[in-house]
Formats: sequence, C-alpha cells, structure tokens
Amino acid sequence: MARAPLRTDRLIGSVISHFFLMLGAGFILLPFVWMLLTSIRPASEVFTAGFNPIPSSFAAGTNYSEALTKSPLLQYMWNGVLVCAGILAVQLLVAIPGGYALAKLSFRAQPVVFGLVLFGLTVPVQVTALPIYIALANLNLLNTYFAIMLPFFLSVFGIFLFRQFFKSFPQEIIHAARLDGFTEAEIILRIITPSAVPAIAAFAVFSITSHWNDLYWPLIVTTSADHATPPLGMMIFRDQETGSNYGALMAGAAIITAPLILVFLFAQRQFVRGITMTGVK
Amino acid sequence: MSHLELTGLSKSFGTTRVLNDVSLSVRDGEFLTLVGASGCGKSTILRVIAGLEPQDSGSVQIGGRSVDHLRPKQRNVAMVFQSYALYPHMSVAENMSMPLVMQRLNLAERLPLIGRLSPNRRRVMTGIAAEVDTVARQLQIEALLTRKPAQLSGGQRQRVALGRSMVRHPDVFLMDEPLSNLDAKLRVHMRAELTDLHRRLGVTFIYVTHDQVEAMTMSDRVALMDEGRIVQLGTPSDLYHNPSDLRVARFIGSPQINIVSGTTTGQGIRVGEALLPITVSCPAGQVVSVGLRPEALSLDPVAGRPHVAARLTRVENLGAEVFLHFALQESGAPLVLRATLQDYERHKTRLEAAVALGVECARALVFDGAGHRVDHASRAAQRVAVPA
Repeated sequence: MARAPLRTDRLIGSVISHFFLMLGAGFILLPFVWMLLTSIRPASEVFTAGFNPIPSSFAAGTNYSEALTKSPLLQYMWNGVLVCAGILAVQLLVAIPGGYALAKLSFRAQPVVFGLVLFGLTVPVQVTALPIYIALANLNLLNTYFAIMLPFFLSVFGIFLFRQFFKSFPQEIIHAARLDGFTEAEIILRIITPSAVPAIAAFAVFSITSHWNDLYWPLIVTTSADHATPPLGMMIFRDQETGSNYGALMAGAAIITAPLILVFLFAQRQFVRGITMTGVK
Repeated sequence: MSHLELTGLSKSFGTTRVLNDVSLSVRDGEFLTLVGASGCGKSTILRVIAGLEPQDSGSVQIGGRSVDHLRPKQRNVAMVFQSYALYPHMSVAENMSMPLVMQRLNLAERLPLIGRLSPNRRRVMTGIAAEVDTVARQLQIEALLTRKPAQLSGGQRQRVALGRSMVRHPDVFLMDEPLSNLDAKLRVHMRAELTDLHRRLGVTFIYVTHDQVEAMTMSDRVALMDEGRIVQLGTPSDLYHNPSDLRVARFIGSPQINIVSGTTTGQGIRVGEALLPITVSCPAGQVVSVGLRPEALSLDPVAGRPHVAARLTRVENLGAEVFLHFALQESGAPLVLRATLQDYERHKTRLEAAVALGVECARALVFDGAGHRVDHASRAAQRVAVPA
C-alpha cells in the first residue's frame, strides 16, 4: 500500500504536539532518572556541583549490595506484597458486589447509599486515623499486618469505579442469567466479574500503587521493622546506619519501585485483553 | 398444558404508565405476536411474564397456575433477547448448557472448584453435553460449539440464543424482537426458520416486534398495542381487512393504508366532489377518515361506480407489481395504488394527465374523529376487538 505523503502543515503539527508530549514525559520521568543515576554513583559524586548524567566512576555494585545487605529490604518488600494483596483482595470482595448492587439492583435505599459512597470519597484518610488508631491500640492490634490493612478494606473509590463500569453492562444478559437460574451471587461471580477484568486491572493499579507507597498509616501503627512496608523501611534504613549514603538509599528506592512498574506493565496487557474480550455486542 | 392468561396487568415506571390494564389469553401452542411502535409496552409485558419485572397489579397464569409469586427460573419460560444476551466469556457450548447446569446441579456442585469433587457432577455434565449436542445439531451450529460469542456472526449468535432457550424445554417461549439486529435477507430466512421451529416444538410462542411484516407473516394471532393497551387482537387477516381502530389500520399493511378525509351525508360520504355510497353509524355532517387499502383503488373506473380524480406523482416499480403514488386533485392528499405491471403499461399514456381512480366502496374502512370504525362492515371487527 502506498503511503500518502505527509503534508507540511500536518508534519509541523505533529512535531509540535510530540515536543510537548515529550516535555511532559521528561518532566515526570526526571525524578526516576535522577534516582537511577544517583543509585549508580559513588557517595563522593552525589553532591558534586553541575549536572553530569554519566558518573566518572560506577558504584552500582556497592550501592545495590549495600541496600540489599545492610537493611532487610526483601523483608520490607514481602511485607508490602502481603499488605497490598490483603487490601486488594478484601477491597474487591466488597467493591464488586457493592458496585453491582448500586448499578443493577433497585432498592429503596439505593440513592442514599450511593450518596454516602460519594460522600465517603470526600473524606481523607487522616480524618479517621485517630479513632481507628485508638481502637487498634485498645484491641492490642498495633504492630500487626491487620492494623496496616484495616482502614483500606472498604474502598469507596472501588465501589464507585465498579458501579460506573457495571452501569454499562447489558441488562439483558443479567435478565438472561436470572431466567437461566443464576442466583445474584452467581451472577456476580460467573457473569459480572469475568467481564470486569479491565476494571479490576485498573483498580488494582490504583490500589497497589497507593498502598505500596503509603508511608502515613504504616508509620502510625507500626514501629517494628518486622511489619514495615517498603517506604517505612526506607525511612528506617535512612535513620539507621546509611545516614548520608544517598547512593545506597537510591539503590533501595530503585529496588522497591521496580515491582510497581512490573505490576503496571502486567495490568496494562490485561487491560487491552479485557477490552477485546468485551467487544461483544 | 401451557396456555397463558394475563389479567388486568398494569405497570408504571415512575409517573409513566407503561401497561394499562392489559388482559390477554394465549392458547396452548399458539404463536401470538405483540406488535406496536417502540415504547408501547410490548417488551414490558414479556418481562412481566418472565418475572423479571414485577407488575403493579394484575396477574399472570401459566397452564392454569398463578406464577406471580415465582422467581423467573421457576416459571419455566425461556426468553430470546434482541441483543441475544449471550454470556460473552463463555463458549457456545457453555452458553447453551447454562440453563441445564443451573437446573440439575445444586449450589455446591456449581461452585468453581469444590463442585468438581462431587461424583454426581460428572454424570450430569455428560448428560447435559449430549442434550446440547442434539439441540446444536437441530440448529446446525454443532461446528461452533467451542467458539466464543465474539467470534460469531449475527445470525449465528441468534441461533445460539435460540439453542440456549430450547435446551430446557420451556412451557412458553418469549421472544423480544429477536430478528431486528439481523440484515434484511437473513431476517426473511430466520422468519421461516422460527415458524418452522414453532411448528416442530408445538409450544406457546409470544413474539414481540415493531415490524408489522413479521407480525403478519409468522403469527396465529396478533395483538396490536398502543400506549400500554391492546388496541386489537385478532388474526393477521382480521387486522388487515377489518381493523377496529384507525391506529391499527395505519400500522398494519405496507404500503400504508390511504387515509382521505370526508364528510358524512345522508347518501354516503363526500370526498371532494365524489360521493362514496357507504352507510355509516354516525350522523350526517361529521368529518370522518376514509381508509382505502392500495388494492381498493383501481385504474379502470367502472361507469356508475364512484371514482376520485387524482394526478400521478411517482412510480415505484417492484417488478411484478407497481406502486403508483397519486395526489388527490382537490386536496392534494397522497394516495397509493397497487397495480400489476401489465395494468400499469396499459394505462401508461393516460396517466400523464389527471385520471379518475375507481374506488371499491365495499372495501373502504371508515373511522370517526376518535379513530373508531363506523362503517357497517365494522360490526365483525368490534367483536374480535374484545379479548376473550
């Protein structure tokens, strides 16, 4: 097939738009690039004046091994995996049926419940932090995984997201399922959930990113390194011995960021697959 | 036995009244079509029968037994939807076996992993697979069983949806505009297949459509609906030749019936200069609508019989027959006439000027201002209009 020659005005437009897109991408990526560059620099080069992207001597080996050996980084990451998985599992367990009920069932309290969900979206986590902390302290549950996960089990954002997604799910398929004899729970499990893969992928990215990176709540309810999540671990790592070893610190940061990027890439593929799968009229 | 009885069904959504005291009796094994413009409540009736929407008042009986308190699956009705409503992530075989799986396995056996532990499950699943195979062969879709709905054409999805409704041998089939997503050629073909299927199964079909051709060609009886009420219930021929209401006359028939307005006099109805000798049951001096089917007009006016003067505006040649569009000389009102090709050729030169069109008064349908039939032939129509 012959390609139509690109007309000059369209070429200029395309160059301009790409310039701005790359500028934006560069702006967002710069801290990550800085982190990676610092993580391969020896301590002596971290604070040199001027911007020299390529360090004169590489210290990647020492920085990364120091990050991995001098702090229980793998333990922190395992804590992060446990906490994020636990939170996501309970969130989905609540948000998918909740979203379905709000989108597809009609009951008298529905507008009120949906109003409360919207209201819940506006309440920041800090507002409820103190009462939950006191309750956990009284129940002797501080310094547990459960304490780190508890405030996030009910995600109003998740309920809202799934409600919006299920709104567009064909009512006729649900009717067909009811006629075939599916119970409501089975409709959710066998019909709605398989169709919601793209929404689940999107929600998982949001949820995992925010709880993997969360420092505020783990800092409040844990003091031990045994249950520390990666950002809290990084803080403990900095306070302890490394003090000013920013190279090792950045190596640690690079290691704990890597799983997030992997999760996103994986979810992105699921996303596309989910969209093609639901391409049924 | 699965005759179906609807008594006094009413249903409102908010302030909109969708069904208004609908009563209907469907015989066992009958093919009954609910036809009407969109929003007339015909699909709501199906959903009420299926138990998917609760009615506000009235009751539904299937086989002489009230089903109002039963859940959809307990009513033993199957429904085919306009969008086919196949489960998108399941294969054709899984789609078709779902109604039987839900019927024959208990809740524990249906669970994804735990269910496999049950020895009963395998036996039941083998039986279901065999039945699905049989139905698939009847519908000639046995080669598609492993495919997903997204990989099927519209006609194939339609068959799968039919198959899914057939496997459980329901008492009543409910079909909600099942052909309207198909292209014109396939629609004609599926029409024949559905009537054939109805004959073979001998089960009650309730079919909803907005297409009067489907209603006319497939049904034993047709109920024409408007604004949540049944306007007329009768055989297709009744509705065409003997409509009880102007809305029925307009809806049924293609090309549409010609409606000209006239005034009643002592001798008949005056339309422009012509006097049509039709006796009506309303007093003289009233404005009425005279409905003339395209075949009630002719190009050869017989001397002494009534005729109207009109001018040819457009010709639609369909090959074997020709639709001639005229405008009435006095009022400019449009008229369509159905003629054979030979008749048209014979009169072609004469049609260049204004011509007189013969009117067969015995076939004229007269409606008063409220749309009710008022000519004498209408007595029979009024009788069938009242549901049994």
